Amino acid sequence: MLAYVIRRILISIPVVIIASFLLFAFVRETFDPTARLRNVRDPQVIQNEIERLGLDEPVHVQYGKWLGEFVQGDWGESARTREDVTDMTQRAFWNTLQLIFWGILVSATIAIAIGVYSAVKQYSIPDYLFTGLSYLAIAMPPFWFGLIAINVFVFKTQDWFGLDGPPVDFVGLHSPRQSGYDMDYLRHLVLPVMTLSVQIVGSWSRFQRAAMLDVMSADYIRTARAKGVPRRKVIFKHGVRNALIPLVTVMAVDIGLLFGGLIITETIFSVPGMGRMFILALLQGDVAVLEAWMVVVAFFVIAFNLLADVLYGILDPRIRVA
Amino acid sequence: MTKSRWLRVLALLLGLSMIAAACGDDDDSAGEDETTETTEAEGGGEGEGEVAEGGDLVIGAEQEPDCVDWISSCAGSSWGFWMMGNTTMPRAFDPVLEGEEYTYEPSILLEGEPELETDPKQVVTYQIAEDAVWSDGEPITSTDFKYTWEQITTGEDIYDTTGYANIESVDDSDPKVAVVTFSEPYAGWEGLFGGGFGIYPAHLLEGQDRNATMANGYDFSGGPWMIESWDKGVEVVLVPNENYWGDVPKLDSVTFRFVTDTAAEFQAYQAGEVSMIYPQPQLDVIDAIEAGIEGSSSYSANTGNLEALWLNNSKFPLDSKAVRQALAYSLDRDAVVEALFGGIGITEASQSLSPPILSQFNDTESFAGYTLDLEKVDELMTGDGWTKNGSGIWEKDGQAADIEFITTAGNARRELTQQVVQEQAREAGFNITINNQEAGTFFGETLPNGDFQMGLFAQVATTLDPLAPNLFHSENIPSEANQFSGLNWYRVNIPEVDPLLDTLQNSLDDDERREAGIEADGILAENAVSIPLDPLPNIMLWSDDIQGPVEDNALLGPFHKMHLWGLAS
Repeated sequence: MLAYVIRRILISIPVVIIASFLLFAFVRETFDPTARLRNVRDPQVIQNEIERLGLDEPVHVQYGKWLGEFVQGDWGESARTREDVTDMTQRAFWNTLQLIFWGILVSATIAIAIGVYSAVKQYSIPDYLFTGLSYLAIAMPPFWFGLIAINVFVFKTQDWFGLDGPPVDFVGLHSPRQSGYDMDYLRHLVLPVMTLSVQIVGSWSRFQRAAMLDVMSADYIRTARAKGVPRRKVIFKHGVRNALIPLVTVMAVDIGLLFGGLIITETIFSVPGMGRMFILALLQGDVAVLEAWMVVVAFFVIAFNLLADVLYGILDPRIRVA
Repeated sequence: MTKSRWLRVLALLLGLSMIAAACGDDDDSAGEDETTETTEAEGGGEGEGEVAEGGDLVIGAEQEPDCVDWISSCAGSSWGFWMMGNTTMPRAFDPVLEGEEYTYEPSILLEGEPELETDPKQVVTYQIAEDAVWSDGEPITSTDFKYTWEQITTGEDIYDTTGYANIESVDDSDPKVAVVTFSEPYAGWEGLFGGGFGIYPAHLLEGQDRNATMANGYDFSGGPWMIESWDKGVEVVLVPNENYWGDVPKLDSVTFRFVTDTAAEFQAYQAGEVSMIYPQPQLDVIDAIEAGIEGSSSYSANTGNLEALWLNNSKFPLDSKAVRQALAYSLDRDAVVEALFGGIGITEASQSLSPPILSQFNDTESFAGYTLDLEKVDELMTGDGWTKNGSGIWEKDGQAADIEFITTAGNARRELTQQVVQEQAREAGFNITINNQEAGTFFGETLPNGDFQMGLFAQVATTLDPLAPNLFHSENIPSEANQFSGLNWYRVNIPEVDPLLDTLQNSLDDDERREAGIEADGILAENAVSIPLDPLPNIMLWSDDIQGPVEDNALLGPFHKMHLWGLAS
C-alpha cells in the first residue's frame, strides 16, 4: 500500500509541472497584465510593469524563474494587488474550506438518508418524490437557485411569517465587523451551504440509492434475512455500510474538485474564496496567483483521488491495491 | 456510541442550529425603513436639518481596490479612491459642481486660492491652513508636498507622473508655504497634489518603503476618516479621524462590504444588509429601479464618463470622412439612449466627444446636427462613389460597407446597444457584424494595435483636465515614438486640429483653452471621428435612514460628504 501511494505521488509531480507550465504559457499568451494600465498617460508606467513582471523574457524563462522560486517556498507576489500570494491563497482557501466542510456535511447527511430511504422504499410515493426532486436539484443552476433562495428565505419568509427582519443573512460569512463561529456565522452559512448542497444532494442521493439497491439484492443480505437477522440490522449494519463504499469514493473525488472554488456560490454570497480568487486573477492575467491556485487544486484533486483509492481498499477488504 | 449514531446526532445538532439561526433576532439589519417614496434628483438631495450623532453605517461596494498606495500602478480603482482615497488623504483642490459645470476650488487644506505666476516660469504658491494636521497631530506641511512630488517622479511603479513630471522644484523652506516651480507649463495644475493621489505624510513615510507601508491599508489620515481595518474580500471599516480640522464625522463607523454581484447587491440593499449602493448602470439595475425600490435615489448624467462608438479612422470603410458622417446620420442615437436609460429618465444622447464634466472646455452640442437622416446618408454615400448592392448594402470598388463592431464580452447593456445600432445601420445600408472580446484583449491589444473598425466603450475622466488632446492628437497615435502607449487608438490625424489641442493641453489661460477646445470640437464633429452615445449615468440608492447631504460628485464619488451624514435611530 505504501509503495502504491508513493508511486502515485511520484507520478503526480510531472503531471502538476506540465499542467502548471501549460497554465503559465496559456495565461501569458492570452492575458496582458499591462492592459489595465493602457489608459495611463505616462508610457514609462507600462514599460516599468513589463520589466517588473519579466514580460520581456521568453515564456519558458519566466516559468523557470517562477518554478525555481515556488519550490523554495516563495509563491511570489500578486501582479494585481502586490500582496504575498501565500497569504492570499491561505485566506481564500480557509473561506472555501468552511463552505466545503459544511456543504459536504449537510449534503452527505441528507443524500445518504434519502438514498437509503428511497432504496428501502423502492417504488413508493416518497421514492418517486425524492427521485423527481433529485433530478430537479441536479438540473438547477446554482446561480439561479442562489438568487431564488435569497428571495424566498430572506424576503418571502418575512412576508409570510410577519418577521421584523430576514431570518438569515447572505452577505459574507459574518455581519459587518464581526467574526467567530456563533449564531451570526450560522445565519450567514444557511443560504450558501444550501446553494452548494442542492446539486450535490441530488447527485449523491441517486448514487446512494443505486448502491443500496445493489447491496440489498446481494446474496449475503438474503442470507442474513434467511437467518432471521432483524430488518433494521440488515439495512443499517449490512446494507448501508456496504452501500457507502462506492459513495465514499465518489465523494472523495467530488470533494477534491470542490477545492477549485465554488465560483457561483462565492460570488452570490460575497465569500472571498478560491473561486473568486481564481476569477479575479484570470481576468487580470495574474499568473502567480493562478499558478498557486492550480497547484493547491491539483494537490487536493490528487490527494482526494488517492484517498478514494486507498479508502476503497480499506472499506472493502476484497479489493487490494498493488 | 456507534458511527451511525454519531452521524445521526451530528445531523440533528446541525438541523437544530440551522433552525435556531433562522429564528434568531436580526440585530444588524438596517431594514426597518419602509419608506416607499423614491426621490429622483440630479446630484442628490441636500439633506437639510438635524443629523443624529453616532451609529454604524453599512454600504455595499461593487469593487475592491487592488491596493491603496494611491500613486502606485496597482491603485487605479475608482471604488478604492471613493471609499478610502478621498476620505483619508488631504488634497489641495476639490472638484465642485457650480451650476452645471464642474470646477476646482481650494480645499480645506489651503488658506485660499494659491498664487499662480506664469512668467518667466509657472510657479504656484500654496498657503497651507495653519490648523491642518495629520491624524497623529503633526502639521501638514510643504515638506509633504515635496515628498509627494518626489515619490511620484522618482518612485518605482508609479501610476501616472503627468503634471508632476513638469515640476522643477518644490520649496519647503516655510513649513506652511509650498512653492512649486514648473520647468514646463502645466495647464492642469489644479489637479495636482490631490486628484486620485492626495498628499502623502513625509514625517511618516520618509525613509520607509512607501508601497509596503500603504498598499494594504494605512493607519494615518489627513481627511475626515481613518481606515480602521481592511478585511480583504470582505469589508473596509472607516472610523472618524478625531484630529480632523474640519467637520469631524458624526457616524461612529462606516463599513463598506464588498458585494460584487449586481443581483446580490440589489438584494442586499433591499434586505437592509447594506444601506446604500452605487451600482453600474446595467440593464438589470435599471429594470429593478423601474420595478420600484425603497429609499431614495439619484441618477446623474453629469458624469466623467462618455460612452461612444469609437471609430478607427484609418480602416476601410471608416477611413472615409463621408462614410463616417453617413454612419452618424444613419443612427437615431436618442432612441438608443432611451432604450438603455429611459427607465431612469435619461433619454438624450451625448453630443460631444468629451465627458459632461469637462464641458467648460468643449462644445457640448458639436454633434447635435447628426440626427437620423437617411436622405443625407444616401447623399453622402453616393457623393463618395458608393452604390447599394442587391442586399441593400453600400458597395464601392467591389468592397461592401462591412463594419466589425466590438465591445467587451458579457456586458448585457453594451450588447443591447450593439443590436440596436446594428439594426439602425442596416436600414441605412451598413452591414455591421458583432464580434466581442474579453476586456483584457480588447483594451490591451485590439484597441492600441488598431485592430478594429468600430468599438463601444466608455472614456472616463479622472480629473477636470480635457481628454481630447490625449485621444485625438496625431502625436498620440500609438507608435514607436510614444512607445506604443499613445491613446489616440482611433488614428485621428487632422493637421488643423493638432495646434488647437496643443493649446487646450498647455495654455494657462482658461479663456484661450476654452476657445481652442470649442474650435477643436467643431472640427472633430465635422469629421465624425467617432460618434458619442451616452454619459453612462451614475446611479445611487440609499436608505432614508441616512441623514445629511447625500450627493454624488462625478470625480470624488458619492461618499465625499459622508462625514456630514448621520443615521436615523
